[in-house]
Amino acid sequence: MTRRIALQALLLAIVAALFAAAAFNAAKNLEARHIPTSFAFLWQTAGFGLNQSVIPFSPLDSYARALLAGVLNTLVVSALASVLATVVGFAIGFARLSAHWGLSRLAALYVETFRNIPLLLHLLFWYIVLLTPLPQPEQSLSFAGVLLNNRGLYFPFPGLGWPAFDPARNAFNVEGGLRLSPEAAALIFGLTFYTAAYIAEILRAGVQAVPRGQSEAAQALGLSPAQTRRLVIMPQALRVALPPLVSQYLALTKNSSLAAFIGFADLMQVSGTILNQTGAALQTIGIDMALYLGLSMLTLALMRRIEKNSDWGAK
Amino acid sequence: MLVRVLAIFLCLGLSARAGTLDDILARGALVCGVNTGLAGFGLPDNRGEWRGFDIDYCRAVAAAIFDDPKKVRFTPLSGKDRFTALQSGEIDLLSRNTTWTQSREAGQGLLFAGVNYFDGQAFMVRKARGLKSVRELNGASICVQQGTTTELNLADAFRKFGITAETVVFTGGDEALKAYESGRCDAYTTDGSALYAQRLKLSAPGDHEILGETISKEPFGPVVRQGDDRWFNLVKWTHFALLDAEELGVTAVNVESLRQSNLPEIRRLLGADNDFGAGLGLPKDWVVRIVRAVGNYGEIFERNLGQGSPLKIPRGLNAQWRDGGLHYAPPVR
Repeated sequence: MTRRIALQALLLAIVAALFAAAAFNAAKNLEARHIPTSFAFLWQTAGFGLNQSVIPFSPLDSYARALLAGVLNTLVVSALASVLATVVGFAIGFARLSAHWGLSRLAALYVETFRNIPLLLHLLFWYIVLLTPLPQPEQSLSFAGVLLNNRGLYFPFPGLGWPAFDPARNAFNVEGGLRLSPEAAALIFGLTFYTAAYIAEILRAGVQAVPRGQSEAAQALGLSPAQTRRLVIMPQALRVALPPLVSQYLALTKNSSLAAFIGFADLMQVSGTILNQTGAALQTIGIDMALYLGLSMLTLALMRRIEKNSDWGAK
Repeated sequence: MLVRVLAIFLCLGLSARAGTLDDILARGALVCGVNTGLAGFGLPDNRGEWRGFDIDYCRAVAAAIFDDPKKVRFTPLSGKDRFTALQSGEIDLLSRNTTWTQSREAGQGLLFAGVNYFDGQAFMVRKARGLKSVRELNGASICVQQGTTTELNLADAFRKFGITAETVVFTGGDEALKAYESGRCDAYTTDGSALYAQRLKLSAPGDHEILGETISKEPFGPVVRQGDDRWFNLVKWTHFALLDAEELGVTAVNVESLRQSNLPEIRRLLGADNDFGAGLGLPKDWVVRIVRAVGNYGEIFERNLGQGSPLKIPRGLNAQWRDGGLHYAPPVR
């Protein structure tokens, strides 16, 4: 036993030494190649603007604040898309399980189409679909104070006022109100409908994993089909479905990094700009990896809580 | 990008290399980092052959070394990848419409071998808007491609003018241009040279105009790593030789016959008497090799960007100093 511990300790020491040597060597070589490795750039003035941010951001703020704005944008979009994807995914999943032949085939068609097209194409598709038919700000569509044009959807909001297009104040854009940009909308739609296809399959797998005997037994006990589904099938199905479902939320968050292709200021887009301006490639990529890891840990912690507090989670 | 950065990080065993020129000679080809696709500067034609202003600079260097402009391997690089590729030794020379800035030399271990194209950030807008100046874009939405100092220049200029705008930043130039064309943005901004190229991609180029005003200085030039002065000199003097050749009227057509010229400046440039190539690690007739292969600076410009190309960019600042431009090359002597 002590020998085994000693061997393990020795192995650990060797691995640690290897890592230390690699890090030391890397630092030396990076220095020799003039590749910057300091993180001091984070406190310099960013100098670029963001078209969307949940926290106030101006070009005079630091790179660190720009990264924070970026990661919050990623968080908001991922959270919204996760909720929507779950709703849509469950709807499609139940449709797929439905005894109605046409409905089930339609759901199957959805799943096969949406999960077999690369996500980037989904995003570009939604972006074009949203932009093409919408009018210029001068011809904004308006309904009950809500304005819609190819720059976004504007809602009246306390503190931000009523949205309005007034050429005397701004000849180009609607001012005032809370705005959902076409970029954010396309990203949320793309992520939602793509991930929903996977979630539908996960739900189907979960429900079909429950032995037929369970529903037969429930019927024998006199439970109605709705009660059977709610009290017998779903708790067992969700227990099976939860781990892959969590994987989907993690994948969705990471997939949101394609946002920069359609002009949304997510973490990857902001850090890409920072990388370009500072040349701090290693540091920026390192920060990105750490932040995505952090977001994933957050998702996992959240899901574990939900699992614990529900009666169907694994005890 | 991630893979590239990690690859560099893992190439820990790489020790100090021999001279860049020796590596190129041993390899039998120059490895040149170029744009992934920018009409006029670097773009493969319909037969897959690379063409453009930056491409011809790679070919000029290859011609000087090998007397063969085909001995170049092109590595298409994005704006993000380009410096890492050069720093790590993946490429020998970066010839990719890259702006010379202080931080790139002082902070990133790079050297610019001169300015081969004087550019500036400009704006494309719809003609129907009737705009005259960038200052009239207050409140507008502006589409931008990420990958250069474009966003920084834009924010700086608008701060200076005391106006605001919404910037919509895209990874790809095509996506940014498409968003502008669809009406998502009122203006599209990037380096003037690229605007001319991208306007041709619009379905109705005639409906759009490029405002005359520029908001930044963008001097482009070929870039090398620090630490190999001999290689730096070779690239720098290839550039000067192209300019000197134009100034002295040496072209791809007359270069052979001009070797018998009586003018001392031309005789020196073409190595008719003394050897000016040796100090660069090149043979005596290095300029003859260059001009025979790609022509002089003016020929490269007109063929790729000027009147001989679809872009029709005027020489402007890129004319020789005698014609009111900024190009003034030191002499070969």
